[in-house]
Amino acid sequence: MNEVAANTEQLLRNYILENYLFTDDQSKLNNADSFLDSGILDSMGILELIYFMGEALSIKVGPDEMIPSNLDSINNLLAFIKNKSS
Amino acid sequence: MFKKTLKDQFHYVCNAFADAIALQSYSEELNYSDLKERVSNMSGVLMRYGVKPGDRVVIVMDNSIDYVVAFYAIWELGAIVVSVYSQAKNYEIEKIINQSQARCLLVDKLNEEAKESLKASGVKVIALDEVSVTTMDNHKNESNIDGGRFSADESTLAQIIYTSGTTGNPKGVLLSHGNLMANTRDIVKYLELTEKDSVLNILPFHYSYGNSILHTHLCVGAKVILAGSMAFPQQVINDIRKYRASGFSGVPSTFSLLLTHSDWVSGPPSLRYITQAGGPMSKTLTEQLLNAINSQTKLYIMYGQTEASARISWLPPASLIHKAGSVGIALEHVNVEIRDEKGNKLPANTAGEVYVSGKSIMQGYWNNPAATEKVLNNGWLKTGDLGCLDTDGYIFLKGRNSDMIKVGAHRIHPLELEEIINRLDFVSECAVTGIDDEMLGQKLQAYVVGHESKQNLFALKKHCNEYLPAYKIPGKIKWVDELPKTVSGKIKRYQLSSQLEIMK
Repeated sequence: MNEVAANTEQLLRNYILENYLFTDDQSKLNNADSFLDSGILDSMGILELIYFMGEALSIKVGPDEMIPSNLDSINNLLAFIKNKSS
Repeated sequence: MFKKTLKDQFHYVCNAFADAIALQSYSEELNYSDLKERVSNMSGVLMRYGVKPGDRVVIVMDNSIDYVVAFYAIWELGAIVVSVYSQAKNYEIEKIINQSQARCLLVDKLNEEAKESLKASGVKVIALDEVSVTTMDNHKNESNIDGGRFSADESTLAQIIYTSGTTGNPKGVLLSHGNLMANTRDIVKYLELTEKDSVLNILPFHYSYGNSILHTHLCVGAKVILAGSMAFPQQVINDIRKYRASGFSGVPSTFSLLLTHSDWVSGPPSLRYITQAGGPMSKTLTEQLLNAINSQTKLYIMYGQTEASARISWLPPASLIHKAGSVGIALEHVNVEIRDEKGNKLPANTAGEVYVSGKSIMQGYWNNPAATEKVLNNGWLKTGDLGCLDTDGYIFLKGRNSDMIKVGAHRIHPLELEEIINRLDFVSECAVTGIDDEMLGQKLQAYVVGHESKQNLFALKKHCNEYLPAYKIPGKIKWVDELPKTVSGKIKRYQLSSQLEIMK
Protein backbone atom coordinates (compact mmCIF):
# COMPACT_ATOMS: atom_id res chain seq x y z
CA MET A 1 0.00 0.00 0.00
CA ASN A 2 1.47 3.38 -0.88
CA GLU A 3 2.12 6.10 1.64
CA VAL A 4 -0.96 8.20 0.83
CA ALA A 5 -3.25 5.22 1.17
CA ALA A 6 -1.57 4.23 4.45
CA ASN A 7 -2.06 7.74 5.82
CA THR A 8 -5.70 7.73 4.77
CA GLU A 9 -6.24 4.42 6.46
CA GLN A 10 -4.69 5.65 9.70
CA LEU A 11 -6.67 8.89 9.57
CA LEU A 12 -9.94 7.01 9.20
CA ARG A 13 -9.08 4.44 11.82
CA ASN A 14 -8.06 7.09 14.35
CA TYR A 15 -11.24 9.07 13.66
CA ILE A 16 -13.43 6.03 14.35
CA LEU A 17 -11.41 4.90 17.37
CA GLU A 18 -11.37 8.32 19.02
CA ASN A 19 -14.91 9.44 18.30
CA TYR A 20 -16.92 6.24 18.48
CA LEU A 21 -14.91 3.66 20.38
CA PHE A 22 -13.30 6.20 22.71
CA THR A 23 -9.98 4.43 22.74
CA ASP A 24 -6.57 4.64 21.11
CA ASP A 25 -6.14 0.88 21.26
CA GLN A 26 -5.76 -0.05 17.59
CA SER A 27 -6.70 -3.67 18.26
CA LYS A 28 -10.30 -2.63 19.02
CA LEU A 29 -11.07 -1.95 15.37
CA ASN A 30 -10.66 -4.38 12.49
CA ASN A 31 -10.68 -2.97 9.00
CA ALA A 32 -13.32 -5.51 7.98
CA ASP A 33 -15.70 -4.73 10.88
CA SER A 34 -19.13 -3.56 9.70
CA PHE A 35 -19.80 -0.25 11.46
CA LEU A 36 -23.52 -0.90 11.59
CA ASP A 37 -23.52 -4.59 12.50
CA SER A 38 -21.08 -4.02 15.32
CA GLY A 39 -22.93 -0.93 16.55
CA ILE A 40 -19.92 1.35 16.08
CA LEU A 41 -21.91 3.85 14.02
CA ASP A 42 -25.59 4.59 13.66
CA SER A 43 -27.26 6.69 10.94
CA MET A 44 -26.04 9.94 12.48
CA GLY A 45 -22.55 8.51 12.80
CA ILE A 46 -22.46 7.74 9.08
CA LEU A 47 -23.42 11.34 8.32
CA GLU A 48 -20.73 12.62 10.66
CA LEU A 49 -18.22 10.32 8.97
CA ILE A 50 -19.18 11.70 5.56
CA TYR A 51 -18.77 15.22 6.90
CA PHE A 52 -15.34 14.26 8.27
CA MET A 53 -14.30 12.78 4.91
CA GLY A 54 -15.27 16.01 3.22
CA GLU A 55 -13.33 18.14 5.66
CA ALA A 56 -10.24 15.99 6.21
CA LEU A 57 -9.92 14.26 2.85
CA SER A 58 -11.89 16.50 0.50
CA ILE A 59 -13.97 13.49 -0.46
CA LYS A 60 -17.54 14.33 -1.38
CA VAL A 61 -20.12 11.56 -1.04
CA GLY A 62 -23.20 11.89 -3.21
CA PRO A 63 -26.60 10.55 -2.09
CA ASP A 64 -26.35 7.61 -4.49
CA GLU A 65 -22.92 6.76 -3.07
CA MET A 66 -24.28 6.42 0.47
CA ILE A 67 -24.44 2.65 0.38
CA PRO A 68 -22.89 0.06 2.69
CA SER A 69 -20.39 -1.21 0.14
CA ASN A 70 -18.85 2.29 0.07
CA LEU A 71 -19.08 3.27 3.71
CA ASP A 72 -19.73 0.43 6.11
CA SER A 73 -16.17 -0.52 7.11
CA ILE A 74 -12.63 0.81 6.92
CA ASN A 75 -11.94 -1.55 4.00
CA ASN A 76 -15.04 -0.38 2.14
CA LEU A 77 -14.11 3.26 2.74
CA LEU A 78 -10.57 2.74 1.42
CA ALA A 79 -11.81 1.04 -1.73
CA PHE A 80 -14.40 3.78 -2.27
CA ILE A 81 -11.82 6.54 -1.81
CA LYS A 82 -9.39 4.78 -4.14
CA ASN A 83 -12.07 4.54 -6.85
CA LYS A 84 -12.99 8.19 -6.41
CA SER A 85 -9.40 9.25 -6.74
CA SER A 86 -8.61 7.24 -9.89
CA MET B 1 -62.52 -10.49 10.75
CA PHE B 2 -60.46 -9.82 13.89
CA LYS B 3 -59.95 -12.40 16.59
CA LYS B 4 -59.78 -11.39 20.24
CA THR B 5 -55.97 -11.51 20.45
CA LEU B 6 -53.06 -11.05 18.04
CA LYS B 7 -52.02 -14.59 18.91
CA ASP B 8 -55.33 -15.97 17.61
CA GLN B 9 -55.23 -13.56 14.68
CA PHE B 10 -51.79 -14.91 13.78
CA HIS B 11 -53.15 -18.45 13.62
CA TYR B 12 -56.00 -17.25 11.44
CA VAL B 13 -53.83 -15.43 8.87
CA CYS B 14 -51.29 -18.25 8.74
CA ASN B 15 -54.09 -20.50 7.53
CA ALA B 16 -55.97 -17.96 5.43
CA PHE B 17 -52.88 -16.63 3.63
CA ALA B 18 -50.61 -19.68 3.85
CA ASP B 19 -48.78 -19.11 0.58
CA ALA B 20 -48.48 -15.33 0.87
CA ILE B 21 -45.11 -13.88 1.83
CA ALA B 22 -45.16 -12.71 5.45
CA LEU B 23 -41.57 -11.62 5.92
CA GLN B 24 -38.94 -10.57 3.42
CA SER B 25 -35.30 -9.94 4.28
CA TYR B 26 -32.35 -9.38 1.95
CA SER B 27 -31.45 -13.05 2.15
CA GLU B 28 -34.73 -14.83 2.68
CA GLU B 29 -38.48 -14.71 2.24
CA LEU B 30 -40.92 -16.65 4.38
CA ASN B 31 -44.57 -17.33 3.67
CA TYR B 32 -47.20 -17.50 6.41
CA SER B 33 -47.25 -21.28 6.39
CA ASP B 34 -43.49 -21.55 6.91
CA LEU B 35 -43.58 -18.76 9.48
CA LYS B 36 -46.17 -20.74 11.42
CA GLU B 37 -43.95 -23.82 11.33
CA ARG B 38 -40.91 -21.92 12.56
CA VAL B 39 -42.92 -20.33 15.36
CA SER B 40 -44.15 -23.77 16.35
CA ASN B 41 -40.61 -25.14 16.42
CA MET B 42 -39.30 -22.21 18.40
CA SER B 43 -42.08 -22.48 20.98
CA GLY B 44 -41.03 -26.09 21.43
CA VAL B 45 -37.48 -24.97 22.13
CA LEU B 46 -38.72 -22.42 24.66
CA MET B 47 -40.80 -25.09 26.36
CA ARG B 48 -37.66 -27.13 26.79
CA TYR B 49 -36.09 -24.18 28.54
CA GLY B 50 -39.00 -24.16 30.95
CA VAL B 51 -40.95 -21.15 29.65
CA LYS B 52 -44.45 -21.08 31.11
CA PRO B 53 -47.48 -18.78 30.87
CA GLY B 54 -46.74 -15.41 32.41
CA ASP B 55 -42.97 -15.81 32.22
CA ARG B 56 -41.01 -12.89 30.89
CA VAL B 57 -38.71 -13.71 27.97
CA VAL B 58 -36.21 -11.05 26.94
CA ILE B 59 -35.27 -10.77 23.26
CA VAL B 60 -32.08 -8.93 22.30
CA MET B 61 -32.00 -9.27 18.53
CA ASP B 62 -31.81 -7.18 15.41
CA ASN B 63 -34.94 -6.73 13.31
CA SER B 64 -34.98 -10.08 11.53
CA ILE B 65 -37.07 -13.10 10.68
CA ASP B 66 -35.66 -14.76 13.80
CA TYR B 67 -36.95 -11.86 15.90
CA VAL B 68 -40.50 -12.24 14.59
CA VAL B 69 -40.38 -16.02 15.04
CA ALA B 70 -39.18 -15.62 18.63
CA PHE B 71 -41.84 -13.02 19.37
CA TYR B 72 -44.80 -15.09 18.29
CA ALA B 73 -43.30 -18.27 19.77
CA ILE B 74 -43.23 -16.59 23.18
CA TRP B 75 -46.92 -15.75 22.80
CA GLU B 76 -47.68 -19.38 21.86
CA LEU B 77 -46.74 -20.33 25.41
CA GLY B 78 -48.66 -17.47 27.04
CA ALA B 79 -45.42 -15.81 28.07
CA ILE B 80 -44.61 -12.11 27.96
CA VAL B 81 -42.28 -10.58 25.37
CA VAL B 82 -39.64 -8.14 26.60
CA SER B 83 -37.74 -6.77 23.64
CA VAL B 84 -34.53 -4.81 24.14
CA TYR B 85 -32.48 -2.71 21.73
CA SER B 86 -30.05 -5.01 19.94
CA GLN B 87 -27.09 -2.70 20.62
CA ALA B 88 -27.82 -2.34 24.33
CA LYS B 89 -24.86 -2.93 26.59
CA ASN B 90 -24.91 -5.67 29.23
CA TYR B 91 -25.49 -3.00 31.88
CA GLU B 92 -28.94 -2.20 30.45
CA ILE B 93 -29.80 -5.78 29.56
CA GLU B 94 -29.07 -6.89 33.13
CA LYS B 95 -31.21 -4.10 34.56
CA ILE B 96 -34.12 -5.21 32.42
CA ILE B 97 -33.60 -8.89 33.21
CA ASN B 98 -33.65 -8.06 36.92
CA GLN B 99 -36.54 -5.60 36.78
CA SER B 100 -38.70 -7.96 34.71
CA GLN B 101 -37.48 -11.06 36.58
CA ALA B 102 -37.05 -12.70 33.21
CA ARG B 103 -36.76 -16.45 32.86
CA CYS B 104 -35.01 -16.54 29.50
CA LEU B 105 -32.92 -14.35 27.28
CA LEU B 106 -32.97 -14.91 23.52
CA VAL B 107 -30.02 -13.46 21.62
CA ASP B 108 -28.75 -13.65 18.08
CA LYS B 109 -25.19 -12.42 18.26
CA LEU B 110 -23.81 -11.71 21.70
CA ASN B 111 -20.17 -12.52 22.22
CA GLU B 112 -19.13 -15.20 24.69
CA GLU B 113 -18.02 -12.73 27.34
CA ALA B 114 -21.38 -10.96 27.29
CA LYS B 115 -23.29 -14.25 27.41
CA GLU B 116 -21.32 -15.51 30.41
CA SER B 117 -21.81 -12.23 32.21
CA LEU B 118 -25.57 -12.38 31.65
CA LYS B 119 -25.80 -16.02 32.72
CA ALA B 120 -24.43 -14.90 36.08
CA SER B 121 -27.70 -13.01 36.63
CA GLY B 122 -29.46 -16.39 36.73
CA VAL B 123 -31.37 -16.05 33.47
CA LYS B 124 -31.27 -18.85 30.91
CA VAL B 125 -29.47 -17.59 27.82
CA ILE B 126 -30.59 -19.04 24.49
CA ALA B 127 -28.24 -18.10 21.67
CA LEU B 128 -29.99 -18.71 18.38
CA ASP B 129 -26.81 -19.72 16.62
CA GLU B 130 -26.41 -22.51 19.16
CA VAL B 131 -29.92 -23.89 18.89
CA SER B 132 -29.58 -26.53 16.22
CA VAL B 133 -32.13 -27.28 13.57
CA THR B 134 -32.22 -30.81 14.95
CA THR B 135 -33.23 -29.46 18.32
CA MET B 136 -36.01 -27.49 16.73
CA ASP B 137 -37.22 -30.46 14.69
CA ASN B 138 -37.31 -32.61 17.81
CA HIS B 139 -39.87 -30.31 19.33
CA LYS B 140 -42.04 -30.06 16.26
CA ASN B 141 -44.76 -32.19 17.69
CA GLU B 142 -44.56 -30.78 21.18
CA SER B 143 -46.06 -27.44 20.41
CA ASN B 144 -49.22 -28.08 18.55
CA ILE B 145 -49.63 -24.66 17.05
CA ASP B 146 -52.95 -25.36 15.41
CA GLY B 147 -54.39 -26.61 18.67
CA GLY B 148 -52.72 -23.77 20.55
CA ARG B 149 -51.04 -24.81 23.75
CA PHE B 150 -52.14 -21.74 25.60
CA SER B 151 -55.38 -19.93 25.16
CA ALA B 152 -54.90 -16.21 25.57
CA ASP B 153 -57.68 -13.74 26.15
CA GLU B 154 -57.79 -9.96 26.29
CA SER B 155 -56.57 -9.83 29.87
CA THR B 156 -53.54 -12.04 29.22
CA LEU B 157 -50.34 -10.08 29.60
CA ALA B 158 -48.50 -9.86 26.28
CA GLN B 159 -45.56 -7.52 26.33
CA ILE B 160 -43.40 -5.23 28.44
CA ILE B 161 -41.80 -2.34 26.56
CA TYR B 162 -39.14 -0.56 28.60
CA THR B 163 -38.80 3.18 28.47
CA SER B 164 -36.19 5.46 29.91
CA GLY B 165 -36.91 5.87 33.59
CA THR B 166 -36.68 8.93 35.79
CA THR B 167 -34.55 7.35 38.49
CA GLY B 168 -31.93 5.67 36.37
CA ASN B 169 -34.03 2.52 36.31
CA PRO B 170 -36.14 1.74 33.28
CA LYS B 171 -39.92 1.60 33.47
CA GLY B 172 -41.63 -1.41 31.89
CA VAL B 173 -44.87 -0.51 30.10
CA LEU B 174 -47.08 -3.55 30.56
CA LEU B 175 -49.46 -4.27 27.72
CA SER B 176 -52.13 -6.94 27.57
CA HIS B 177 -53.30 -8.79 24.48
CA GLY B 178 -56.46 -6.71 24.74
CA ASN B 179 -54.44 -3.47 24.69
CA LEU B 180 -52.50 -4.50 21.58
CA MET B 181 -55.46 -5.88 19.70
CA ALA B 182 -57.62 -2.81 20.35
CA ASN B 183 -54.88 -0.51 19.06
CA THR B 184 -54.04 -2.74 16.12
CA ARG B 185 -57.64 -2.92 14.95
CA ASP B 186 -58.06 0.84 14.99
CA ILE B 187 -54.81 1.40 13.09
CA VAL B 188 -55.62 -1.22 10.46
CA LYS B 189 -58.95 0.49 9.89
CA TYR B 190 -57.70 4.02 9.35
CA LEU B 191 -54.70 2.93 7.27
CA GLU B 192 -57.03 0.62 5.31
CA LEU B 193 -54.45 -2.18 5.50
CA THR B 194 -55.12 -5.38 3.58
CA GLU B 195 -53.24 -8.52 2.61
CA LYS B 196 -52.23 -6.71 -0.59
CA ASP B 197 -50.02 -4.30 1.37
CA SER B 198 -46.31 -4.55 1.98
CA VAL B 199 -44.47 -2.23 4.33
CA LEU B 200 -40.76 -1.53 4.04
CA ASN B 201 -39.70 -1.27 7.68
CA ILE B 202 -36.63 0.53 9.02
CA LEU B 203 -37.88 1.19 12.54
CA PRO B 204 -36.59 -0.92 15.41
CA PHE B 205 -39.16 -3.50 16.51
CA HIS B 206 -38.35 -3.09 20.19
CA TYR B 207 -39.97 0.36 20.23
CA SER B 208 -43.75 0.68 20.26
CA TYR B 209 -43.89 2.29 16.78
CA GLY B 210 -41.94 -0.51 15.08
CA ASN B 211 -43.83 -3.04 17.21
CA SER B 212 -47.10 -1.64 15.92
CA ILE B 213 -45.96 -1.76 12.29
CA LEU B 214 -45.07 -5.43 12.64
CA HIS B 215 -48.37 -6.51 14.21
CA THR B 216 -50.71 -4.36 12.13
CA HIS B 217 -49.32 -5.80 8.93
CA LEU B 218 -49.04 -9.42 10.01
CA CYS B 219 -52.58 -9.40 11.37
CA VAL B 220 -54.06 -8.77 7.92
CA GLY B 221 -51.77 -11.12 6.01
CA ALA B 222 -49.66 -8.32 4.55
CA LYS B 223 -45.91 -8.45 3.94
CA VAL B 224 -43.24 -6.94 6.17
CA ILE B 225 -40.01 -6.15 4.34
CA LEU B 226 -37.08 -6.04 6.75
CA ALA B 227 -34.95 -3.28 5.28
CA GLY B 228 -31.57 -2.03 6.34
CA SER B 229 -30.70 0.96 8.42
CA MET B 230 -31.42 4.62 7.80
CA ALA B 231 -27.65 4.99 7.82
CA PHE B 232 -27.95 4.48 4.07
CA PRO B 233 -30.98 6.48 2.92
CA GLN B 234 -30.37 5.83 -0.78
CA GLN B 235 -30.52 2.11 -0.16
CA VAL B 236 -33.86 2.54 1.58
CA ILE B 237 -35.29 4.33 -1.46
CA ASN B 238 -33.78 1.73 -3.77
CA ASP B 239 -35.42 -1.00 -1.68
CA ILE B 240 -38.84 0.68 -1.73
CA ARG B 241 -38.61 0.71 -5.53
CA LYS B 242 -37.15 -2.81 -5.80
CA TYR B 243 -39.74 -4.44 -3.54
CA ARG B 244 -42.56 -2.16 -4.70
CA ALA B 245 -43.52 -1.47 -1.09
CA SER B 246 -46.98 0.01 -0.62
CA GLY B 247 -46.16 1.46 2.80
CA PHE B 248 -43.33 3.17 4.65
CA SER B 249 -43.11 4.53 8.18
CA GLY B 250 -40.70 6.90 9.82
CA VAL B 251 -39.97 9.48 12.48
CA PRO B 252 -39.13 13.09 11.51
CA SER B 253 -35.39 12.41 11.21
CA THR B 254 -36.16 9.53 8.81
CA PHE B 255 -37.77 11.88 6.33
CA SER B 256 -35.18 14.56 6.88
CA LEU B 257 -32.47 12.06 5.93
CA LEU B 258 -34.36 10.74 2.92
CA LEU B 259 -35.10 14.17 1.53
CA THR B 260 -31.52 15.43 1.93
CA HIS B 261 -29.44 12.33 1.29
CA SER B 262 -31.19 10.33 -1.40
CA ASP B 263 -32.47 10.90 -4.92
CA TRP B 264 -36.06 10.83 -3.70
CA VAL B 265 -37.66 13.70 -5.59
CA SER B 266 -41.10 12.32 -6.24
CA GLY B 267 -42.68 8.96 -5.61
CA PRO B 268 -41.77 6.10 -5.34
CA PRO B 269 -44.92 5.25 -7.28
CA SER B 270 -45.73 2.02 -5.43
CA LEU B 271 -46.29 3.81 -2.11
CA ARG B 272 -49.92 3.96 -1.05
CA TYR B 273 -49.26 5.27 2.46
CA ILE B 274 -46.53 6.90 4.48
CA THR B 275 -46.89 7.23 8.24
CA GLN B 276 -45.06 9.63 10.55
CA ALA B 277 -44.96 9.42 14.32
CA GLY B 278 -42.26 9.54 16.99
CA GLY B 279 -42.45 13.23 17.73
CA PRO B 280 -43.60 16.42 16.04
CA MET B 281 -42.46 17.02 12.47
CA SER B 282 -41.83 20.66 11.59
CA LYS B 283 -44.15 22.47 9.22
CA THR B 284 -41.27 22.94 6.78
CA LEU B 285 -40.35 19.27 6.72
CA THR B 286 -44.00 18.26 6.39
CA GLU B 287 -44.38 20.55 3.38
CA GLN B 288 -41.18 19.21 1.82
CA LEU B 289 -42.42 15.67 2.29
CA LEU B 290 -45.82 16.47 0.80
CA ASN B 291 -44.12 17.97 -2.23
CA ALA B 292 -42.01 14.86 -2.65
CA ILE B 293 -44.82 12.28 -2.82
CA ASN B 294 -47.13 11.33 -5.65
CA SER B 295 -50.83 12.11 -5.59
CA GLN B 296 -51.71 8.47 -4.90
CA THR B 297 -49.54 8.37 -1.76
CA LYS B 298 -51.28 9.40 1.44
CA LEU B 299 -49.33 10.87 4.35
CA TYR B 300 -50.60 10.00 7.82
CA ILE B 301 -49.31 12.11 10.70
CA MET B 302 -49.78 10.27 13.98
CA TYR B 303 -49.23 10.73 17.69
CA GLY B 304 -48.88 8.27 20.48
CA GLN B 305 -47.06 7.07 23.53
CA THR B 306 -45.78 3.64 24.51
CA GLU B 307 -48.12 3.71 27.49
CA ALA B 308 -51.03 3.86 25.01
CA SER B 309 -49.89 0.84 22.96
CA ALA B 310 -48.89 3.34 21.25
CA ARG B 311 -51.29 5.07 18.89
CA ILE B 312 -53.46 7.85 20.36
CA SER B 313 -54.42 9.92 17.33
CA TRP B 314 -54.12 10.14 13.54
CA LEU B 315 -54.50 13.02 11.11
CA PRO B 316 -56.71 12.04 8.17
CA PRO B 317 -54.75 12.90 5.00
CA ALA B 318 -57.69 14.97 3.77
CA SER B 319 -57.24 17.22 6.83
CA LEU B 320 -53.49 17.76 6.38
CA ILE B 321 -53.87 21.22 4.93
CA HIS B 322 -56.75 22.79 6.84
CA LYS B 323 -55.64 21.20 10.15
CA ALA B 324 -51.93 21.78 9.55
CA GLY B 325 -49.97 21.45 12.79
CA SER B 326 -52.45 19.03 14.34
CA VAL B 327 -51.64 15.45 15.25
CA GLY B 328 -55.19 14.50 14.43
CA ILE B 329 -58.23 12.97 16.03
CA ALA B 330 -58.42 10.21 18.59
CA LEU B 331 -58.51 6.64 17.35
CA GLU B 332 -61.94 5.04 17.25
CA HIS B 333 -61.65 3.36 20.66
CA VAL B 334 -59.53 6.02 22.34
CA ASN B 335 -60.81 9.02 24.29
CA VAL B 336 -58.81 12.21 24.63
CA GLU B 337 -59.33 15.05 27.12
CA ILE B 338 -57.37 18.12 27.99
CA ARG B 339 -57.14 18.74 31.73
CA ASP B 340 -55.69 21.39 33.98
CA GLU B 341 -53.15 20.83 36.75
CA LYS B 342 -55.88 19.71 39.12
CA GLY B 343 -57.24 17.17 36.67
CA ASN B 344 -60.32 19.17 35.65
CA LYS B 345 -61.47 18.83 32.07
CA LEU B 346 -60.87 21.93 29.98
CA PRO B 347 -63.03 23.26 27.14
CA ALA B 348 -62.01 23.37 23.49
CA ASN B 349 -59.12 25.61 22.48
CA THR B 350 -57.79 25.76 26.05
CA ALA B 351 -54.28 24.46 26.64
CA GLY B 352 -53.62 21.86 29.28
CA GLU B 353 -52.30 18.33 29.62
CA VAL B 354 -53.38 15.53 27.28
CA TYR B 355 -55.20 12.68 29.04
CA VAL B 356 -56.13 9.47 27.25
CA SER B 357 -58.40 6.54 28.02
CA GLY B 358 -59.57 3.45 26.20
CA LYS B 359 -58.88 -0.23 25.69
CA SER B 360 -55.33 0.41 24.49
CA ILE B 361 -54.10 2.09 27.69
CA MET B 362 -51.42 0.06 29.46
CA GLN B 363 -52.02 -2.11 32.50
CA GLY B 364 -49.36 -0.13 34.38
CA TYR B 365 -45.59 -0.20 34.82
CA TRP B 366 -44.30 -3.67 35.61
CA ASN B 367 -43.55 -4.01 39.32
CA ASN B 368 -43.64 -0.27 39.83
CA PRO B 369 -46.88 0.81 41.48
CA ALA B 370 -45.46 4.20 42.50
CA ALA B 371 -44.67 5.15 38.91
CA THR B 372 -47.99 3.70 37.73
CA GLU B 373 -49.93 5.76 40.25
CA LYS B 374 -48.36 8.95 38.94
CA VAL B 375 -49.76 8.48 35.45
CA LEU B 376 -52.77 6.14 35.65
CA ASN B 377 -55.94 7.11 37.44
CA ASN B 378 -59.41 5.64 36.92
CA GLY B 379 -58.46 4.34 33.49
CA TRP B 380 -57.07 7.70 32.35
CA LEU B 381 -53.44 8.05 31.31
CA LYS B 382 -51.66 11.31 32.06
CA THR B 383 -49.41 11.66 29.02
CA GLY B 384 -47.14 14.49 30.11
CA ASP B 385 -47.83 16.20 26.77
CA LEU B 386 -49.27 19.69 26.65
CA GLY B 387 -51.84 20.67 24.05
CA CYS B 388 -55.41 21.54 23.26
CA LEU B 389 -58.39 20.22 21.35
CA ASP B 390 -60.13 22.37 18.78
CA THR B 391 -63.90 22.32 18.38
CA ASP B 392 -63.64 19.49 15.84
CA GLY B 393 -61.70 17.31 18.28
CA TYR B 394 -58.32 17.79 16.59
CA ILE B 395 -55.33 17.69 18.93
CA PHE B 396 -52.69 20.41 18.76
CA LEU B 397 -49.62 19.69 20.86
CA LYS B 398 -47.63 22.39 22.59
CA GLY B 399 -44.66 20.61 24.12
CA ARG B 400 -43.81 18.27 26.96
CA ASN B 401 -44.52 18.67 30.63
CA SER B 402 -41.44 16.71 31.59
CA ASP B 403 -37.69 16.54 31.21
CA MET B 404 -37.82 13.71 28.65
CA ILE B 405 -35.55 14.24 25.64
CA LYS B 406 -36.42 12.98 22.16
CA VAL B 407 -33.44 12.15 19.94
CA GLY B 408 -34.61 10.79 16.60
CA ALA B 409 -36.84 7.85 17.51
CA HIS B 410 -35.41 7.52 21.02
CA ARG B 411 -36.97 8.79 24.26
CA ILE B 412 -34.33 9.43 26.91
CA HIS B 413 -34.63 10.69 30.45
CA PRO B 414 -31.63 12.78 31.51
CA LEU B 415 -31.43 11.24 34.98
CA GLU B 416 -30.53 7.92 33.42
CA LEU B 417 -27.43 9.42 31.81
CA GLU B 418 -26.54 11.68 34.73
CA GLU B 419 -26.41 8.71 37.06
CA ILE B 420 -23.76 7.11 34.83
CA ILE B 421 -21.66 10.26 34.36
CA ASN B 422 -21.76 11.12 38.08
CA ARG B 423 -19.92 7.90 38.86
CA LEU B 424 -16.70 9.38 37.48
CA ASP B 425 -14.36 10.61 40.20
CA PHE B 426 -13.44 13.78 38.30
CA VAL B 427 -17.12 14.78 37.99
CA SER B 428 -18.76 16.65 40.89
CA GLU B 429 -22.18 16.70 39.28
CA CYS B 430 -23.74 17.02 35.84
CA ALA B 431 -26.93 17.72 33.98
CA VAL B 432 -27.99 16.41 30.60
CA THR B 433 -30.37 18.35 28.39
CA GLY B 434 -31.63 18.23 24.85
CA ILE B 435 -30.67 20.96 22.40
CA ASP B 436 -32.62 21.54 19.23
CA ASP B 437 -31.35 19.75 16.15
CA GLU B 438 -32.77 20.11 12.68
CA MET B 439 -32.27 16.47 11.77
CA LEU B 440 -32.94 14.64 15.02
CA GLY B 441 -35.35 16.94 16.81
CA GLN B 442 -33.03 17.11 19.80
CA LYS B 443 -29.42 16.18 20.53
CA LEU B 444 -27.91 15.36 23.90
CA GLN B 445 -25.67 17.85 25.66
CA ALA B 446 -24.09 17.32 29.06
CA TYR B 447 -23.10 20.13 31.42
CA VAL B 448 -20.38 18.80 33.69
CA VAL B 449 -18.98 20.32 36.85
CA GLY B 450 -15.49 18.90 36.84
CA HIS B 451 -11.94 19.37 35.71
CA GLU B 452 -11.86 20.08 32.01
CA SER B 453 -9.19 18.32 30.01
CA LYS B 454 -8.93 16.39 26.78
CA GLN B 455 -8.10 13.30 28.80
CA ASN B 456 -11.18 13.68 31.00
CA LEU B 457 -13.38 14.25 27.96
CA PHE B 458 -12.11 11.04 26.41
CA ALA B 459 -12.53 9.16 29.68
CA LEU B 460 -16.08 10.44 30.11
CA LYS B 461 -17.19 9.28 26.68
CA LYS B 462 -15.42 5.96 27.05
CA HIS B 463 -17.11 5.48 30.41
CA CYS B 464 -20.53 6.20 28.89
CA ASN B 465 -19.79 3.80 26.04
CA GLU B 466 -19.31 0.97 28.52
CA TYR B 467 -22.83 1.36 29.84
CA LEU B 468 -24.88 3.01 27.14
CA PRO B 469 -25.70 2.50 23.47
CA ALA B 470 -24.36 5.10 21.05
CA TYR B 471 -27.55 7.16 20.87
CA LYS B 472 -27.47 7.81 24.64
CA ILE B 473 -23.94 9.18 24.72
CA PRO B 474 -24.00 13.00 24.87
CA GLY B 475 -22.38 14.41 21.76
CA LYS B 476 -21.43 17.70 23.33
CA ILE B 477 -19.88 18.16 26.75
CA LYS B 478 -19.78 21.61 28.36
CA TRP B 479 -17.54 22.03 31.38
CA VAL B 480 -19.08 24.48 33.87
CA ASP B 481 -18.33 25.90 37.30
CA GLU B 482 -21.80 25.22 38.65
CA LEU B 483 -25.30 24.24 37.63
CA PRO B 484 -28.31 26.56 37.98
CA LYS B 485 -30.58 25.30 40.74
CA THR B 486 -33.80 26.15 42.50
CA VAL B 487 -33.89 27.11 46.16
CA SER B 488 -34.54 23.48 47.00
CA GLY B 489 -31.50 22.34 45.04
CA LYS B 490 -33.25 20.98 41.94
CA ILE B 491 -31.39 21.53 38.69
CA LYS B 492 -33.06 24.07 36.41
CA ARG B 493 -32.74 22.16 33.16
CA TYR B 494 -34.80 24.58 31.13
CA GLN B 495 -32.29 27.27 32.01
CA LEU B 496 -29.38 25.16 30.83
CA SER B 497 -30.87 24.81 27.38
CA SER B 498 -31.48 28.51 26.95
CA GLN B 499 -28.82 30.41 28.83
CA LEU B 500 -25.14 30.89 28.09
CA GLU B 501 -23.13 28.32 29.97
CA ILE B 502 -21.05 29.44 32.93
CA MET B 503 -17.63 28.71 31.55
CA LYS B 504 -14.50 28.25 33.54
